[in-house]
Amino acid sequence: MNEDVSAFRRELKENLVDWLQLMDKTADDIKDEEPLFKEGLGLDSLDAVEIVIMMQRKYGIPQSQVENKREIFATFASLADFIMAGRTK
Amino acid sequence: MGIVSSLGDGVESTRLALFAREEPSPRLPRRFETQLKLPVFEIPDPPASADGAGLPVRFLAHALDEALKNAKLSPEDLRTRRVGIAVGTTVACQLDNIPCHARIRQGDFSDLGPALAYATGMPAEYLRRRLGTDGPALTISNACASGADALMIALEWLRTGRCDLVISGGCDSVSKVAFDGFNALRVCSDAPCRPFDADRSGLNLGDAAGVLILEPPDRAAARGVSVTFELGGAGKSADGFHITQPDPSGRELERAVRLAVSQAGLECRDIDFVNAHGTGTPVNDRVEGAVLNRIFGENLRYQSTKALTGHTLGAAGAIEAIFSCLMLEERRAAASRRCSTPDPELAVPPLAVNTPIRGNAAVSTSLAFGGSNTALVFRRCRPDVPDTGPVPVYAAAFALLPPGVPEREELTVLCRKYGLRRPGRLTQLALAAAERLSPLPRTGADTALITATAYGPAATTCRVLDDILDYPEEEILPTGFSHSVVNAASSYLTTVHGIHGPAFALAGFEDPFREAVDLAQTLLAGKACSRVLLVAADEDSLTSRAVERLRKKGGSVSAEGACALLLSADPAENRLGTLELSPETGGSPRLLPCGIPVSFAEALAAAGPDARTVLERPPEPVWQL
Repeated sequence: MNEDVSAFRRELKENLVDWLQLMDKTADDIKDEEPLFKEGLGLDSLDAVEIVIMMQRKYGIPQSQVENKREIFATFASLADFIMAGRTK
Repeated sequence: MGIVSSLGDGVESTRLALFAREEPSPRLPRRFETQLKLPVFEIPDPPASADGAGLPVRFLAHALDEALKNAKLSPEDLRTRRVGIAVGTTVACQLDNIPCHARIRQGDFSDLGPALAYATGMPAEYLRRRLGTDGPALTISNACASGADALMIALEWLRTGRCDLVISGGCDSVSKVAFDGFNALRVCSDAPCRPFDADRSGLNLGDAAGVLILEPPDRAAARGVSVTFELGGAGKSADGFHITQPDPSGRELERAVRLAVSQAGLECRDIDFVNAHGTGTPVNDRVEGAVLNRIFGENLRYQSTKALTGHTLGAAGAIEAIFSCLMLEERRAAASRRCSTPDPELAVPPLAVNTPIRGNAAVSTSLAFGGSNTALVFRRCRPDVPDTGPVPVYAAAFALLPPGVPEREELTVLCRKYGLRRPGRLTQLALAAAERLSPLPRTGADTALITATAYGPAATTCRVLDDILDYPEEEILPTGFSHSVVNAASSYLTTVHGIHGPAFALAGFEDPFREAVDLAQTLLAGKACSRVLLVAADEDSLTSRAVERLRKKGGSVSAEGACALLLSADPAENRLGTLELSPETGGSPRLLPCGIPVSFAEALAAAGPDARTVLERPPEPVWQL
């Protein structure tokens, strides 16, 4: 994995803990290939809405680009890759 | 009874409109600017009030005037009785004035008029000042069950002889914060709502207030007023399942309905119809329809009236209680509107037409965020039911949170222990205080929870206001709003401690802690539970700092803090002695957050089984600009 990718993933993990106020987690607890929802990180549908909003606020990705694309949220890595490729800021 | 909603101003116009051919239609909001095309049921503003009271309180005062007139009560009548006041609301418990918040966050405290209106506009305290009564005054903010909860508390006060007469009800108005917040939760419909319809797509918000004056029939008769229907029973339970989502099994909702029916001395077959919560959201209506079917079987008859009024939040339980009584009086159950194609998943569809009934008894349900279920039963009056009378209240455990606690490390441990995420600061304080109790509260249906606060999760509300000021409406964060409800801490506490008994979230500025202890005593006396976990907490926020500038005495001495008190009716659980309430004002005690007198906290912390601790009433705060 190149350095940009791993630095970005690190940043995003810290952001997720901060955005979602994951009191019981640290960035180190989020594994790249772990599912974000249910049995993985344990996020729910409201968290998905929050992540979509924060993607828009922080990385300039319009909500319309994310609608009906559940595959983006499959794992932490899929989310990170999508944001890295689509970010405008 | 007194009522104002989109169905009309007053009981008689409401009675006609409930059964009318045409239903009112929601329109786009007119009181605030929005880009969202979500219709709401707004009603005309009542005249401005000289004391600057906010909209929900003005609706309430309007409904109260009608209720007093219909009950033939004068202000003098009220001053000679032990009058309790219980009002449900959500909007009136938040300082949600956006321009005021914009000023405060820039350090500009020059115009605190809205903060003063908020602090003096807690509905129950507002009515107590206006009417000059001196009984308990509780503002219940249990999200969408608040209005029904106020009625349950009224019933408990009357059953236990705590009060001779109770003014109960609910009030709310469509605010920008609730509107943007419910939109962020993705539960609003962009069309008129269609409860129980296959194509339902969410709720519409609405303005309303309803007031019911409850009095034992013999006392009313002595005044020459005849009473036909009584609030015969109230059942309340907590899912203890998830912070915001209902338990899909509906087990606790079922228990609440069965409790209410049995407390009313009835069987399920005696119930003519159910006025369901029926918000029009996909999840609510599916779970509720299935539970009602399970309880009442094929004979189930039910409707939602929210297609006529919208979801009026803290007022809903109160106005729907009035609708239920009117339907009983008319011996007709109203049709469930805008349900042209009932959801095929419902084994029994809601009433398609206005239907004749015997007019003996009805159930009204209210279900709130965080799995708080309330069911009320209205029935033809029975001969007077005797008071249960007071019982001794034992302090089983007490804990006061030291300043600055909990810190991040302790929180992480707590969150890991209970599998929790993102509790707001007020919830953190409440959880940490409860965790310090020894022993911890027992789980089950026998334990009730009361949370008391002045400001509620005000810092979280400030963040929602920041969002509204700084971002477009579609970028408002949903969990900010869902954690800004006053009963957020209550949802966490019931979930982590497995508490399934009644849970009430109270808010007030005069003496919230004492009011909460008073309510605990009533619940124990009425055997609504056998122990009560009481958690009082307040968090630091821009709102609390603004309001504290206005409070000249009887105020708090520190910005944030919490305490937890476990009370029991069982002498075997007596560890810290008995607790008594003194009606006297105890000089000017220094107060911890949410009105806990410092001396009380010190006395209880040092007490043993033989102790007797008296909780005195603090002097009322004096608000000044």
